Amino acid sequence: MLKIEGLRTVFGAAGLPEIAAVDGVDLTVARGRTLGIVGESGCGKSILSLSIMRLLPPPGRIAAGRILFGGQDLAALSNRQMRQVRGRRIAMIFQEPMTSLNPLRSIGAQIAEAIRTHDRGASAADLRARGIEALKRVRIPAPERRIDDYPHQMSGGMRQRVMIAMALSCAPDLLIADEPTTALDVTVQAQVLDLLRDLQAETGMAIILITHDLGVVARMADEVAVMYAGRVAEQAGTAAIFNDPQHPYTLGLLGSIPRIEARPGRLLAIEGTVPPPFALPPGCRFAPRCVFADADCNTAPPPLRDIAPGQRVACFRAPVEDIA
Amino acid sequence: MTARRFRLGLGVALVAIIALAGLLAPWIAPFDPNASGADVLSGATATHWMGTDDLGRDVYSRVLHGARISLLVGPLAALVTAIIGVPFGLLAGYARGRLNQFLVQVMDLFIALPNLVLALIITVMVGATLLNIVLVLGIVMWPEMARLVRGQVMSLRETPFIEAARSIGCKPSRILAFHIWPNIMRIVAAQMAIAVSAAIFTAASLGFLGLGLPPPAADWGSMVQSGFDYLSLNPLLSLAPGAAVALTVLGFYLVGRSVE
Amino acid sequence: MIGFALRRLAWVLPNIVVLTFLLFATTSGWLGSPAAMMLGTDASPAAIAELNARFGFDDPIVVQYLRWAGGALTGEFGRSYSTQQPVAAMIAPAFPVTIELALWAILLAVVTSVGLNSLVVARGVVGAISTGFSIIGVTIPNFMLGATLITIFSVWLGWLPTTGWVPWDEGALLHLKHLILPVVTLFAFYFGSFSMVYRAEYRAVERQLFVRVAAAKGLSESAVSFRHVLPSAVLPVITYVGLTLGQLVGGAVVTETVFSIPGLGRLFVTAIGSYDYPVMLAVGSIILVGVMVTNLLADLALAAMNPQIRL
Repeated sequence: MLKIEGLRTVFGAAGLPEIAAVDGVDLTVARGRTLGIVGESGCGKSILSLSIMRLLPPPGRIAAGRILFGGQDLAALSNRQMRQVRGRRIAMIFQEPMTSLNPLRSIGAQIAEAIRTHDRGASAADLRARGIEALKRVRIPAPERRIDDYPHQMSGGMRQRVMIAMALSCAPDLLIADEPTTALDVTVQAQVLDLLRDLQAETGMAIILITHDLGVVARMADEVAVMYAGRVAEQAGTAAIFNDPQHPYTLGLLGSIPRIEARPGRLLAIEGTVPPPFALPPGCRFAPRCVFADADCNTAPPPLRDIAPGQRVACFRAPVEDIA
Repeated sequence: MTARRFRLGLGVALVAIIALAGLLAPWIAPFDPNASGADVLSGATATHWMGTDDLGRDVYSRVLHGARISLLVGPLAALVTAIIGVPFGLLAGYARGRLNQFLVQVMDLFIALPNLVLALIITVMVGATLLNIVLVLGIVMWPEMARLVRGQVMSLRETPFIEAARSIGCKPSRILAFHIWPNIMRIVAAQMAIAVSAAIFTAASLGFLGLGLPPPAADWGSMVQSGFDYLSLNPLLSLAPGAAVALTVLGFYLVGRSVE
Repeated sequence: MIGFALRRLAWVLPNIVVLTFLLFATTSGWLGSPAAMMLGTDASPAAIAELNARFGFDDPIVVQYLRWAGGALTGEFGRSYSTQQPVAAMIAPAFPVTIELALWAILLAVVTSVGLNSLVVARGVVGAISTGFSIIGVTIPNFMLGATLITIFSVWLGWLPTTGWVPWDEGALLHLKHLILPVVTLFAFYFGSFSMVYRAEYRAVERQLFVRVAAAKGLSESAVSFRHVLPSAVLPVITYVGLTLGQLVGGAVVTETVFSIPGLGRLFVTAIGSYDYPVMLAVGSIILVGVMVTNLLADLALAAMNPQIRL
């Protein structure tokens, strides 16, 4: 349903060299499926999501590539056409539920605004009824009363539910969730994730779940794309990523999840830090930190290639089994 | 970034021009600013570039000499502002509890007061001399400085390096003098430039309202007022000193605003 | 809300007393005997003593203040030294003139500064021009702007009257014609200062996540700007208007003098010019109290508009 081809998003103020925060990304998401996008902060995953929504803060812009969604190229739409897509066909929820709602307006008014933007004819009574319905769907108790509450009267988990209710109020085909649970308590995190899964089952929407938390990915995603320094390093089904990772970076990430059971053998911690986008190595961007890197890795960037059915890796040295 | 540099450049240029005019006034002014001539209320001519006023004095020479007064009043008043406002702000920012509350309330009260109205009342009581005007302006303008300093101290005092200084037993006076003051000096300097601009603005308004330096001083504000009746005859009588005030105020303001 | 209002009032009332007392004390002797000033420096001590007795300048300052304040509360401000008219009768016609002038200017300034900066904030050329205008607005003295406007529109073009004031009932068109230049003069400063506060605030609000959320709903840029950024960014402007009302009053005093408008400001300046203490004191107190009360109202309006303050 969503197919991103060669997306390149750059930031460049006048007179300065452009910096590519997202550099040649290909991804697909199918109806009813969840794509997890994982990576460290600064890897371009949030910029990727803002590119899809065409909500890049200036001076960011899409420099190349296509974002095909339901037969349209979002990157080529006019601003007016794009507004028809935002909120109605693609909705988004953000990391900070505490600041995603306008503090001066009741949550009912904010949900009503989302509905009315795409349904001009809705009456006030209708809007209220649909607002209550939306709150009910995200399992907010006593929605008839809470709809008149202001954001500061609600907890973080409740606000994220309101955000989800608002995002789903126009029944979008795709929901982009950018770190939806990072700012929440652990128990609340689980509730919100369960809610998202149930709602997906009800509506058949696709979800792009952006997170740095591999636990969340394992729980939610059907497919996973691992991003590193603006590029996709590896993309595969969730089971394959966790059981048979092929990119050294993915291996490193998995090595950095704490496990309760003792792990025999060597521990793969990743040395060094992500290179800043203005000082990228010429070859594989992970090469300077990669324990498997050799001379080839520094000559040209590795293309994303199929290594197994449904598994693609951008690494010259993969599959890793061959190295050891 | 470039806009800020443009503003700074423009501000510095304006201040430099006014300062040069004031400094060199005795040499570049074609006439004695206070010498009455036979030619009363002449329009702009080759001899009198901006004409003469109702006493036959050369307006251009008076405008040049007026720069000396403004450049004396403005910076001195800003200095008074800082002398009162900075210690008050330091104390109000650093003190806690009752003292803090009291100082803040005093400050808020004075901030709300109308500067010009207050200056008018005090000036008429004490008389419009150069020293008095400087003191009056400093007295009505200090709360803004105090508020700024207090805000800076408040945010600085929570930073780790101040807490570290406190934890090794530094006295508050030492912390204020050696740790906080160096960090806010730049902002105080910027605010001083803005205070200079506000002082010149207010002093000129006082002059325009009839409380300028006593005649025959070439006080820009008073010159605007005395030329006001002759706008249809020669608008430069008012507009020339008025423009001098506006450009000086603008110059210092731009300098102050580009530092922040 | 009522509790909050009462607490604010409990703070404002004593301030009003303290300030009017200081004003009274200043104008009645601490900085020079009004009797000596009225009679000139070479007046005989006997004449001064006589005047002191006649006006009660000999009583303790607190007694004098209470006597004055008691009268002021009932609208009795004594008689003007120079015109011998009751001060209240001089203030009554001046008051609405100043209010009208100030309201026009403030209203126009709020609407244009908020409107323009919501539309054009930080957008290239228009943004730079608006910044330039606000800087000029706050730095050009009212008398300079007033003199320039009079020179251009009255002296050269002859479109508008130079100075003076015509009340509504003597012709609405004439009234407006006399109003235009003073309102523009006063407006410039208000526009400049409101614009600067609003623009800074707008930029800060614009970076908030809820603004991005609003855009993600599919709202147009102007809907995001006017419905989400504006309401949050305008609140500090209200605080600012309240807080700097004192500075704004100064502008009105000068503007009224420039255009010979018979308002409170000009009354005040005339009184100062003729050492007319009862008038100075009365107008000064009205300005002070007016500033404090407006400040209070701004605080209350702010509290009423912000759902997070339910005190």
